[in-house]
Amino acid sequence: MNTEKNILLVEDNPDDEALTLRAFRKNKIANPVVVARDGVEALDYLFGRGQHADREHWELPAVVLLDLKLPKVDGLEVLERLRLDRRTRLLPVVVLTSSREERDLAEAYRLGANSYIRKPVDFNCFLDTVGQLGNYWLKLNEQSYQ
Amino acid sequence: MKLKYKFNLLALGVLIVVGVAISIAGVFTIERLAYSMNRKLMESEVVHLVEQIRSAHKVLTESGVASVDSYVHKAQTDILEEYRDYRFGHTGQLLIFGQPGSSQLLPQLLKNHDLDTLCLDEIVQTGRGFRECSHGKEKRFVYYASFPAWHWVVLLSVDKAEMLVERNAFLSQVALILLVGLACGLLAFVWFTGGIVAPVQLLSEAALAISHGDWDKTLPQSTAVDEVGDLTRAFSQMSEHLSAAQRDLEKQAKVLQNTNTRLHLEISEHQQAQREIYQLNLELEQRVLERTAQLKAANEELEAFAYSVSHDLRAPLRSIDGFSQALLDDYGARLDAEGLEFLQRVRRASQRMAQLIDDLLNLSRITRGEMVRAPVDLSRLAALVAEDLRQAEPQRQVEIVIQSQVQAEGDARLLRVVMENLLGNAWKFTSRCDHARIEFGRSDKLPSGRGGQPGNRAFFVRDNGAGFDPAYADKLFGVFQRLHRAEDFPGTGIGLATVQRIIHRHGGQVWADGEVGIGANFYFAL
Repeated sequence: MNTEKNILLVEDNPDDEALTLRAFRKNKIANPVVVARDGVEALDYLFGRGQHADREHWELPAVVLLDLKLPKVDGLEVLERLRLDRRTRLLPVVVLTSSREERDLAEAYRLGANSYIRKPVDFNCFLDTVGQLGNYWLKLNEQSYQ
Repeated sequence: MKLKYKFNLLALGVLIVVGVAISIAGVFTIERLAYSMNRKLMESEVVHLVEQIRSAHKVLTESGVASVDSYVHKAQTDILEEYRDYRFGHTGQLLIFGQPGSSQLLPQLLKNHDLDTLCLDEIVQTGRGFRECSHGKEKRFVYYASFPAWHWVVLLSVDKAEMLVERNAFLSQVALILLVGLACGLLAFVWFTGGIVAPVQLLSEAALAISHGDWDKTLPQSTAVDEVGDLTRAFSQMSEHLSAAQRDLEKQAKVLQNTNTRLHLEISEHQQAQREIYQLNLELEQRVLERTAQLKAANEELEAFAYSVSHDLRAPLRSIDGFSQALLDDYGARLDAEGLEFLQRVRRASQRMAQLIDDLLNLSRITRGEMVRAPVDLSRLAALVAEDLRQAEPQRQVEIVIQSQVQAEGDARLLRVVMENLLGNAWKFTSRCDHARIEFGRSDKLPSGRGGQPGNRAFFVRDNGAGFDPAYADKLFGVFQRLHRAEDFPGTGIGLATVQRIIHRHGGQVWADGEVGIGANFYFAL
């Protein structure tokens, strides 16, 4: 069980951020959520550098929820860099995005995404989605820590 | 040198050589003959005379009076008398004279006795013989014999010229013959050159002219019945045939030349046309390239637009919906029923817009994606779609009739979208029927225009649902066109537009007929 571990939410839209956090709350997911608002911030957090360089008790999150359309470094590039690094090679990454473009899907899986979820417009559907997502990645899924 | 002159010289040379040889041989022969004949004649005359003298002397001797001068004289006188008028030829002279020192010399018989004395001396000494003596200016042949008992010498001389008369006559005859022969030879030559060489020469000239292409040269004619005549006629005939053939050839050559010129012209026109076509092709290719590049750019732009629509337009909608829900959840208690209803409307509108965006994206994806034509089992497709519909609304009782073995040729993915839309529409618009019935199959109807071949019968989807007013049939396929109110039958008005776009991409036609409350028939042909 990963109920204490962090969740990294990479999301640049404050509305989406607020709604996602709300969905976590509604689904009673208590894990701390760290929000990165662009690709660089996400990478800095994960690799413990930049503003996160002096972070104590450096630990990887239980899961990364990654939007694709991001300022500076976009989601797919973040994913690619994570998979190239030994430390984050096996880190669960769920792509959570508005896009349903086939090329985004294919590219995300090719680069090693663990899951690809499209954010529904209907908030109730979104709630359901986030609930299932948390349940799966935080409770059901067994993770390798190699 | 021409053949004619060669013949000429040859004939003359031969004639002359033969003539001269014959003459020389003839002269010698005749001369020899004349000599021997005269000699024999003269000898026999002289011997005959001597025999007469001897017999006279014999008579005298037998009578015993051979030494009696009167008897001897008498006998001698008789003989002399007998030969007084003796003639031999024209110039022959008979001489009987006594040897010098004899008493019985008979000088009266010596006529023109002016023979060489030297010659006479020799004659007297030898007794008998034949020789040539000069007599003044002329030469004379002499045959002589002596009769020693009487001391007589008998001598017959003939002018040499007379002996040569025969030879000269022969010579003149030979000359005459030669002349005649020469004339004959000349005539023969003239005949030969005229009859053989000249025609042959004419033939050779004509052949030369023909070989130089001069067909207008007059051909040699001949009426001769010999080989040359035959040859000439054969040659003339051959030349005429050749000339005719040549004229024929020239005519054909002219025709060929005309054809050639025309072909040349056609070829150059063809080449010009080809160049133009090539030029046009180049231009066309250039334009296609440009247009393709433009299309590609437009497509890329459209794709970027679609991407941004799918991503960016949905985000605000999510916010609208999400915060409306948050409002409902957190502050619902403070709102009255109308306020709650308004918020629900906001949520419905945003969800509907999200649906519209998705449908639009689907529509544009259909237009953009690559198309793969292959045989497609439409019956199976229809069955699959029907199964999906039944699973989505298992409570509904709908009779779905699908004709088996309906085959089409097209893109399976796109045709599935067509079937989904048409069957989905039928499913939707029969939702208020008691005995809903949907049919799929192949009709007897043909599309209009170029696609209207017998093999291209249209497929149909028929339902007994709400139907539509036929007056609006042409509006059915427009984007966002709807003939029903959303509260009656939900929808964005994009499904049939999508169907039409797919059918058009296949080069086919789609049309519909129907009646309000009775049902609708949708036809499509690929």
